[in-house]
Amino acid sequence: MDRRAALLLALAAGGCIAPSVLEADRRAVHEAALPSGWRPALPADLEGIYESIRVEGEAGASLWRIEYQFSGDGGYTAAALVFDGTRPAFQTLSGAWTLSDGIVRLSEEEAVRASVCEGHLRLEGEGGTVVLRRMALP
Amino acid sequence: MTSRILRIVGLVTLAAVGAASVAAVALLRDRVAITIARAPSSGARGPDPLALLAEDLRESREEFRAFAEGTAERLDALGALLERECAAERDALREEIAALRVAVATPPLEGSPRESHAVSPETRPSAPASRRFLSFRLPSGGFDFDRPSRFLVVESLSRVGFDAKSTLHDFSGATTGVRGEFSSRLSHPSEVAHGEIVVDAAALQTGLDARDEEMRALLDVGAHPTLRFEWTAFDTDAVDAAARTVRGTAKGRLSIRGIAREIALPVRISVDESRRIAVEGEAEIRLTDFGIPVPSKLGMIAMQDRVKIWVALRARCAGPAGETAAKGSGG
Repeated sequence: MDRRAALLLALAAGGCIAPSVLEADRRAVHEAALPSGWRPALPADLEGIYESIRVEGEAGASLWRIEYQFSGDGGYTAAALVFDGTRPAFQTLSGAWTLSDGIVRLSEEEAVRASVCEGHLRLEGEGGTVVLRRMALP
Repeated sequence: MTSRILRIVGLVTLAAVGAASVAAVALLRDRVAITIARAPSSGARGPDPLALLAEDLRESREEFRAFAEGTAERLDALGALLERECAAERDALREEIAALRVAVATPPLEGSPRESHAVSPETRPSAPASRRFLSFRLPSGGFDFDRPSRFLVVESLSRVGFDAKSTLHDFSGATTGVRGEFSSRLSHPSEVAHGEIVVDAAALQTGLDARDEEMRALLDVGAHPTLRFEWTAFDTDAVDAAARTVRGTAKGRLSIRGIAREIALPVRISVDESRRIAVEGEAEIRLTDFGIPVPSKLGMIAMQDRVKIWVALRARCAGPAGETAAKGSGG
């Protein structure tokens, strides 16, 4: 009698409990989706503290993490965890920035495209693309 | 008495010798002729001292010439050596000056409407050839598909799990509680293939608390808190260096509940946009091979003994294979 009841229960439950197999293409952990609707950055957009959430392109092999602090007076400071092929080490920078036509200049010889969207800053250069998220003042 | 006799004998002997001498001179006087001749010609005499002197002078001159030539060669060699050393020192100094120039302040931006500040990158002096990106100095190489490298599992982007079949319905269990490292030369993955992946057994979740609790009991997570895969070999099926992909079978020992079994795990390896490698693969195992009783309820609701295990790992190059680097990548 118990077995018959269990069988009925199993059949009934089988109809109720949906399979919960993770599809093969959903096994990998994906990074959070980026917002859409990017626009060229204006000088007023840049002031603040940012941390990288994604580094794409060849720079991604060596640039593990990066943080910027852009001041309204045109100064900036930054730190990056750079892997030189042997071990990671921090580099720090401080300097001046200018921004016009969506191009930010962080040093005399380098200009990168800057765009913003919903608290995010995207910097695109020859070596790759870095997406940063605005951080709250600690 | 005796001395007197000896004295007499001596005197007699002297007298006899004197008489004999006088007699001999008298006898031989006419038979002995002494002739004084002129010296023979010069050709028969010894070597000419002038010639000897000239010969000595010639030999000395030759020795001096040989010495001078030898000294010149040695001086040339010494000069070349000093020149090489100077050149090496000059190159080293140039490199040092170039590194110092990079390290010192960069001039202010031209035309900047705002106050400029000096840029002072603090970098390691032994860094290899580099390029600028966002004003940071990065190594120029980028991701090296060919170099034997050590990879660290990026925990926040990795997941392992299993798919099981049961009478009621099929289900998966999975966890991101996975860590580990491995070494590989992606262009020739069979050459370098070793490492270990460790999974927190208690972190596996199937979506049902009761089932998770039973699973933890079956895995005996108290006594065996981790599941381990020790990677020992790789059979290569295909390598596409241009696309940076690898297909093959990772072989090694899987340990579950303290029991280790050899398994073969077909995998696909690729490089993602952030230059991490993605490793995905699956294989079938039997629970009973690892001493795990097949779960069953009342003999009617039962799991199958065969379970598909899978991995979806992301790992970051953390240095040359065989070397130690800081653990914990930023993802």
